[in-house]
Amino acid sequence: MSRLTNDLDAVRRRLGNTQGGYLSFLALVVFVILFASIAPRIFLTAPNLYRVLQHSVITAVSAMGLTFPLLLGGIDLSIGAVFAFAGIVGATFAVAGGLAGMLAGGLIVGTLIGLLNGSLHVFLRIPSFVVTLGMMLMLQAAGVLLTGGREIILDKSATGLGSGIVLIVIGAVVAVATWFVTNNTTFGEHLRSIGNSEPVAKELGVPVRVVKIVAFGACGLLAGLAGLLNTAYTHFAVPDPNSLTYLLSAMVVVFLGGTSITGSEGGSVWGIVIGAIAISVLENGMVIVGVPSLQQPIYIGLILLLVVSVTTKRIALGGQRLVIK
Amino acid sequence: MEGRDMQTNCEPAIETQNVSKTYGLIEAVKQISLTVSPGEVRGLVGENGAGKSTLLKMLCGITQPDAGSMFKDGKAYAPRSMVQAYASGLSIILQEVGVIPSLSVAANMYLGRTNQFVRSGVIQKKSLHAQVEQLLRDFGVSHIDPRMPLGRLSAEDQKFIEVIRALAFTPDVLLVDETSAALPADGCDLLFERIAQMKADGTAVLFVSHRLREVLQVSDTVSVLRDGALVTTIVSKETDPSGLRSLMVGRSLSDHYYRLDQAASRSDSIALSIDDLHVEGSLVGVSFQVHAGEIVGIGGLTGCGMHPLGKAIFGLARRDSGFVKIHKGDEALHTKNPVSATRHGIGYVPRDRNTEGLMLTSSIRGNICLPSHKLLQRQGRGAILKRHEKGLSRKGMEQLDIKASSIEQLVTALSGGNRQKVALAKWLAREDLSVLVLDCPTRGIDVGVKAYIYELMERLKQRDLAIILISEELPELIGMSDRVLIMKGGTIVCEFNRSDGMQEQQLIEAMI
Repeated sequence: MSRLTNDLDAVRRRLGNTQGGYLSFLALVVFVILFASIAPRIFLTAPNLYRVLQHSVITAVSAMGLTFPLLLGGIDLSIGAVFAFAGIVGATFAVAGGLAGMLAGGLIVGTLIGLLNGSLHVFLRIPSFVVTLGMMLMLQAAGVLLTGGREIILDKSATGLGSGIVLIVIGAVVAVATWFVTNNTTFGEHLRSIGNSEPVAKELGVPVRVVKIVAFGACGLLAGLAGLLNTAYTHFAVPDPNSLTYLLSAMVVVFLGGTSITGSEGGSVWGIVIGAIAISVLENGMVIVGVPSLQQPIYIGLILLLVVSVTTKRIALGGQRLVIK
Repeated sequence: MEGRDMQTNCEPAIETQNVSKTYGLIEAVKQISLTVSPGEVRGLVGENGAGKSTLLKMLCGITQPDAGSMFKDGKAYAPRSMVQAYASGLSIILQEVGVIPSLSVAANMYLGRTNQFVRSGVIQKKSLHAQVEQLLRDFGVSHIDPRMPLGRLSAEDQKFIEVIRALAFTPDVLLVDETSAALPADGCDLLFERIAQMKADGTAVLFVSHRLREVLQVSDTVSVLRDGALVTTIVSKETDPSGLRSLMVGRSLSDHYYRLDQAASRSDSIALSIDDLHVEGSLVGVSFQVHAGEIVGIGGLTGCGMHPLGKAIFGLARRDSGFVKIHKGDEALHTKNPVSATRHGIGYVPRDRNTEGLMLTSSIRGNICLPSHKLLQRQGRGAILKRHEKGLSRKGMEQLDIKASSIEQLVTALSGGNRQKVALAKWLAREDLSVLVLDCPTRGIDVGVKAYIYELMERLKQRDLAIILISEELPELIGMSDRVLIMKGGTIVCEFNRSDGMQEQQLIEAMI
């Protein structure tokens, strides 16, 4: 027991362990003050702040999807790949079907992939880490093959989805829905019960398999939605053979928001929303201040470590099991 | 007499007819037929592995019998899950069910029976919280907020919630498995009070415990199981703990399985000295010495600091000040953390063997070898070889008479008593062990293994090992220790010597 661990534990106790959102909020306030004082004329303008908010929606939506598997003690590594793949499918469908075609195509594909992830995990009893890793690799390659490696420019009829207020409204709706589902429904309670202990959940009559499959389906749905939003926002879909970036930024936001990797704990939607905005502010601010883009991940990594080191329950990592289902 | 009349007049509240359950080659339950009438409190006793838990698990739907049938109020009863058991009016206090720390107190209270608060998948939190608030108030609890995540309550409050959960609903049948539950004292009082009340209301109670005196106190009748079969059912008033004990083991076991010598003994050399130990929130200046070949008992009430003391000696708690020194010849070696404590020959068997003392999902071999890696490395000239590991663990298994199919068996598959033997064996495998700290070594263990552990302690004493015995059971402290130190408020308040003859009453007075 080093002194540092004890001091950290004291800080955690004071913050209250499950309310990880506190610190992402603190980070947000610090970043805003920081960049507002360095570059008030560029940072503190309405269009810029609006852009920051829009940008945060995309990460927040996929991060909210990720909370479902995390709450039950699993993980979905394929969300980045689903994100890119749904974008491609959506953009392809938009040519013929416009906005409706894009939404239908992207969301259905995302959901189906998620359900498939869940089913493979449940029925073949493969750890979700491995299932989704395999899925990620396959989807990346499929995306490249489908498009021949070229980006697809989104049909004009479908770009409305990514414009200003629409994006923010969608983000808000998803946030409220996720909050409601994880906190006020039996499904949410079942997720946490499984994350706490699967045998116990079974004895309590939780339909473990169904809940798991649905959780991965929901994750796929939101990853797909985030992919569509991104396509609509940037106006084109890219077959990214390296979709890790999307996955990692969603993970940063989830952990920033206080969700635990060991399952059951956290899942604060509020923490995710604030965390996504904080990261968005940081990225935006660094560009404004002129931090070279290659340097930026260093700061994001540092912030993540700092925040998580005081919000995570250390006992959960050191004292108990650390099993990724 | 009233109880008997009831039995003849009423349909039994719960009944099993020739139920059997086999796990692999082991017949856990053999054709047990049992009836409990409404308003009857039935004790259920037996050694570990006698089939008590399996029987309970079948009654509450966790497992299903291979043969035989069960009836509730005269109707066929075959629950497939605990939820179904709840629905048919059973209530269960079982360690295995436990709680979900990340859910709120209220959600935990209605775990598995939230249905009444759910409208199309949505939980009506307001009415749930109001209901639980009312419940807590009925039980005289005002300091717990039903909205709070359960994990933020103290361990005792969590246990308390578990008890209230089982008692809150007036069931037709209440099953209590106290063998592993280890309730806090006020939880126990509450439990017994409610059992009496429920009995009056016509609830049938099946009460499983290792504390025979308690079973006899609470129950009207007691059923004794041995090796998966029902031995007999007797009226509680007509027997005593030693009568039950001999029925449980099938032979008459003398009541005196403690040490027989009445004088304290120890060697002259000091093995361990503890000097002014302070730990924030639990210990305030604890000092004492333990001689080689001496058993020092440590007792006290809940919260007196005896369990933290065990942890602190082994270096698991951060010390604010004070020393723990191991004496080897003229040398005094300081220990600061579990690493140096282990190196200098301290062994520690924690109170909760399942979460602290053992790696449950590892084999017997893995558990026994862990503290002896240095020795194994030396044997293999730097490499740990499987044959050395096997040798060491086989020796340990034989020495402690661990009952398992092989050294490769996972510890999860062992009964409580055998698990405890593994927890002991891993320290005894070290030849350089000089101090052994035992925290409640016989907690939740049947009489057979209990007697064995006492015998082992005597043998270790002969081998000049210094033993610190932390215990919640006074007879055990008095029966085994050369000296008993009583703790109160984080410090030692009183010392008793074996040679002076110790009385339970004396110790209790010192504790209060």
